[in-house]
Amino acid sequence: MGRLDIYSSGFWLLLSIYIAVESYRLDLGNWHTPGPGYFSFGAALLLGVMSLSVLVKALLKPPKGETLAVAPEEVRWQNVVLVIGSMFFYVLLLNSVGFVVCTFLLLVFFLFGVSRQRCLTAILIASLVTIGSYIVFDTLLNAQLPKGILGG
Amino acid sequence: MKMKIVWIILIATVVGIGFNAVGYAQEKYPSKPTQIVVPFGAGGSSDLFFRSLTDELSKTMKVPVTVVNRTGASGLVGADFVANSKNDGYTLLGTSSAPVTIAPAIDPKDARELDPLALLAYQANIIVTRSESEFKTLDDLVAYAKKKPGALTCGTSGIESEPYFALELFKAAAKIDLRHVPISSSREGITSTLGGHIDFWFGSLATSQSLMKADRIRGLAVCTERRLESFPSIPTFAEKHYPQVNVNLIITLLGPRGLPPAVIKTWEDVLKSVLANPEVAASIKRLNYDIDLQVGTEKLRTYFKGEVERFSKIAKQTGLRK
Amino acid sequence: MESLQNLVMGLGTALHPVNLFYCFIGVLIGTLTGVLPGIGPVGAISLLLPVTFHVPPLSAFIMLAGIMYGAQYGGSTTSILVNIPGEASSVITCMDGYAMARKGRAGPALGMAAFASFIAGTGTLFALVLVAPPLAEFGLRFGPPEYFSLMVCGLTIVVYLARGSIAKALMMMSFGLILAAVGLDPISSHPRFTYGVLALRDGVGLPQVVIGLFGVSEVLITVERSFSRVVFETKIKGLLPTLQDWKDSILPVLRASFLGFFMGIIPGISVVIPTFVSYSLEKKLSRFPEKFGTGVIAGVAGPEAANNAAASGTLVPLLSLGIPAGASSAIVLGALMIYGLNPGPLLIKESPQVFWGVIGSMYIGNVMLLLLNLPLIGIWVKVLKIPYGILFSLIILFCLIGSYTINNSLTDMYIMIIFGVMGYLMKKFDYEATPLILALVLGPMIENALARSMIISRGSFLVFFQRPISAIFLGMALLILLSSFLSKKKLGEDILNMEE
Repeated sequence: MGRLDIYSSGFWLLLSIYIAVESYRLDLGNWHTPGPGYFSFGAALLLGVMSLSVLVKALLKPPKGETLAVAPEEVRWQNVVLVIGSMFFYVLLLNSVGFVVCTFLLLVFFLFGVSRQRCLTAILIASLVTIGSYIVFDTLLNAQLPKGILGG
Repeated sequence: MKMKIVWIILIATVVGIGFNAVGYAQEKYPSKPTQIVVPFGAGGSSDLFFRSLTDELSKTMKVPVTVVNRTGASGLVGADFVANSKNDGYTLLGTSSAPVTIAPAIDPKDARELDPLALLAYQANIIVTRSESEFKTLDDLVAYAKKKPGALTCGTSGIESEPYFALELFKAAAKIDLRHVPISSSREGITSTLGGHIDFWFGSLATSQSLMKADRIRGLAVCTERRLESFPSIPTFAEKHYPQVNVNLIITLLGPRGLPPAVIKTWEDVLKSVLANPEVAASIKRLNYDIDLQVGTEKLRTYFKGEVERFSKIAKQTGLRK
Repeated sequence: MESLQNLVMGLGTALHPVNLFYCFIGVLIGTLTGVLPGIGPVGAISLLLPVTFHVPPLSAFIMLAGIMYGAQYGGSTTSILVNIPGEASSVITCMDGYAMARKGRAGPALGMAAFASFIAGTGTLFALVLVAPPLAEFGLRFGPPEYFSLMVCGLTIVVYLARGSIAKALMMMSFGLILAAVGLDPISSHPRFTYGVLALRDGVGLPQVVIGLFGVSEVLITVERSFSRVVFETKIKGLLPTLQDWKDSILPVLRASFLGFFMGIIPGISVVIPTFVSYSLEKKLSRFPEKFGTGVIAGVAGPEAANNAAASGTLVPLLSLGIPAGASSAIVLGALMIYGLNPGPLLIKESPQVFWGVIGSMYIGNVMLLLLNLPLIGIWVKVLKIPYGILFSLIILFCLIGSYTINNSLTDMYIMIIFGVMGYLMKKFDYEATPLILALVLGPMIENALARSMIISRGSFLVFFQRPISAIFLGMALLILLSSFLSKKKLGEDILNMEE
């Protein structure tokens, strides 16, 4: 896991330094009256030390050529990016467009766009689930979902 | 076939939007369901208070009045929400006074544009200790603290709470030094007091009253003007010559700034009748609150301003003020 | 004995058809809310609170208790089926429960979870009846220093549970502690790492992190491959636990019940902690510790028993001293107050029929839960048969809705998405999520306990060693640390030898 470890531990090391600095600026206080920063400072210290050890270990070990558990052709980054992206937009538009429309669009996108169902199936399932979840969450459980453009 | 279904869905959507777009005709207030936003968790003190009112309020106002919780940031998330809603009187804030008196005192940026409709009830803040403790009266506390400054510990639910300010006022008035231990959950605080890990606890009556009745906890003084009906043997801070220690938990109803006078008047009348209802009064009593209805938006605004100033002074002295 | 007589009387009250009805409704709604991520028992209870006003107090309480139990079990259901803990206490169940589901053994996992919960729940209720008052007093001896040492002990268990590199587990643990620091400082209420976002003042929030880190990331990892891949073994091997399963589980359940109950008595201890203590105990005692995480039924039976036992344990301070254990029991307490009942030391004396009725109804609730859920297992298992191409969209949707319903806040949804991405990256770079979550749960408690101890002792660290209970826990922590380093070293050497 050599190269991956180098990147990840490097990231954590940098993060720990940032947190430690910010915590220091929050004032560490003293033993009698602990300040706001001491807790995250200590944790950041631990994080930093550990990531340093992982980094060093990864750097010292000669790279043996990682075997990925899955052949590269089978990995579809696009799916992951699409799912994350659409979730993000869902939240962005939720208050303005409303729960019902957003959910419907999201589901259609997932079913038709990502997992390649037939268009009709996608719309059918999307409608059913949207209506069903609206009933369960808003009417029955009173979750007060955003009404957006369809609401009063 | 596919196209037909798509058309049906489109038409249904449009019709749906159409129906909803028909606004409610402007009638006399209230003509729509009203929300009371409680910025604290369900089952909490202020939440239960307002929930015990909603049935009677709905009956009197002839529209559904419901409690909605919007928690976070010690009540500021809910206060934010109401302050930013339309001031048509259909979204109000039902809360203890802390988010409007204490939060702005600590950080002026936390002040929100809210207009008070009424003060409804109050609950006493009380300083207690465990029954096995050597401190039988408030005087014992003061005497010991004067002899050994900084030796005693007193817990509150945190510096953003009324009891903390009461404690600071007491320390200043009696010229004693007590170490403050913030314990955010009052039940943990009472437990610590019971176990003797802290010497005193300054909190609201509800937390300690059942243990006081069972003689596990002893009350030393209350912040109210008069002694408590339920515990008449406990003196008030005023009796002990510390009248400035009068910070209690106050339940208030507020709305966004600029409420129409009709709305304000309606609520003043409704609250008067609802709080006079014997069932409602009984529920409130069981929650350890004493009803004390005060109305008059101008008067209340001044009152709140005064409290904020009072607390700001303390906040500055203790270095809390950001 | 008088207590047993009273218990029988309480059972009698609880068995009235009306009360049975309320119990059923409570358990049903509780299970529903437990299954749906985000909405927890607190939400459900607050929804039904107005209903309970029009109903006699005991019936109302029975319903609320049913909700609490139901939610507990519902949370385990989603942990096993889709690796999304419905409750924080179900996080550990994900570890082996989900693995079992992947192997086609979702039925036995769900079944054993139900049975373990039932056995632990009813067994500890009896214990409650017999030993409540003196136990409550014991719980009072826990002050801030004791809590601190106990939590530190808990953290060392996190290290012990690390399946891979200890260094990486420690990294995740420290990151979890840093996340726990986000919000207001407990002493000075100074905002830390909130970057001006109001919603962050209360911290990042456990449910949204859990949903993202476990649920969303699991979907992302699976979605990475083509959808025609089989995610869940389609040949469902049986719906109920086998005789072998029972043999493997009975001791863990008994141990967990003891453990959970006594830990639950400590006021304020989260129900989460007994679950992972039980898991690590079972792992330590097992003949094949390396198999934990791949679908060992003891890894499901133990924690499930532990959380129900702990729930009963938390009743001890509640019913004897009126001190609620957490958010849901606090609401119940409030509700009781509205009815004029005075939860506290006087409850037994003033309203014995309520007290014993409550105990009786909890027993009935346990039974109801079992009866309700066993037939449902068949249905749940069918859910897994839905093609993943469709299932994944449902899971994501419920994660989104769930995270919204926590606080009606969009910020929570963003947090969930961010942690979903993070969880995905963590899986790719080989970092475990469990130490992070456990540190996030323990972090605030540790910080509070440490700060308060320091104030009380005026800065002296000796306080942790001078008080006997605290010293014991610190000693245990040291032992656990040493033991995990030693065993890891041996395990590590074996693995290294195998790799090369």
